[in-house]
Amino acid sequence: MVKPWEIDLTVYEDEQALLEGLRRREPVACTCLLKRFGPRMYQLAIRLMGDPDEAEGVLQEALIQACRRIEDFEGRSGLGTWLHRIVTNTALMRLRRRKPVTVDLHEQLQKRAAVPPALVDATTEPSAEVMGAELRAMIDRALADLPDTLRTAFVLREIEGLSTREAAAELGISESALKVRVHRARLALRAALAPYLDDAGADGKEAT
Amino acid sequence: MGIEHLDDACRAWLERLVDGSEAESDEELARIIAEHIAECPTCAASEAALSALIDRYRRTDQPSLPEHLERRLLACLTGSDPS
Repeated sequence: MVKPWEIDLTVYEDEQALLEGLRRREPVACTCLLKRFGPRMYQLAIRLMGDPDEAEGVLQEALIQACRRIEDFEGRSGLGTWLHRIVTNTALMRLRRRKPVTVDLHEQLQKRAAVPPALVDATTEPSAEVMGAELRAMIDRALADLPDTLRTAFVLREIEGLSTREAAAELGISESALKVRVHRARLALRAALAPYLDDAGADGKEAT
Repeated sequence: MGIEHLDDACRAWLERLVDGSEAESDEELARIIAEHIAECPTCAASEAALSALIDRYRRTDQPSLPEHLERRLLACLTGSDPS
């Protein structure tokens, strides 16, 4: 018997066909949904939660919800946009249930200043791929270390590319409050990623 | 460019920003921050570099699902045996 992860993903020609398959509750359609959108949604969940383990739970809950509520999908946006919203809402709900943690931004900035830029050796020229992986890991960590309120604002607005209005609506805050949170997140990230900012603005731009 | 770029003036600004005593509303606070960044060469350079770094981070995105998670989710969604 063919396992779900071994199926032919071209079984649905386009998104409409996939949608119809999902509405008919076809297991293959669920598999295609996961294969097509899962990686991107998992990444979104990791960034919002700041924790891969918690992101797994978010993704599972969101996908189950999406499959159950597929009849609610009206097609006014793409399936990916609809899923993006479900994952975001699921993540935000979980974050709200978290015990609030007080974070001292000053303390964070000073802690960052004390950390030497150990991952970058200016005397060598590591390959773009290696540098990319190092930078990516540093950015992932810096994002994860942000307080939840700042991280979610920054991720939705600056990484996911939502407009100020859309991101504010997702978070249930005013546009001004969203802007303030993004500014504060950027300031913390400037401190956390300071050793890497030169490379980012110069020749590192074309690295893959 | 390093942490030293958050100079004394910017640190003082950060303190006001964090304690929120300088602004009566989020709108005003957002305006104060935007004005500071526009007027402070240090912050402007640092902000531009951060934007470039984040842009690169976005462009080199290669999301993937861990195998164990994919199998678990597939089993969950399709009712199949993940083994």
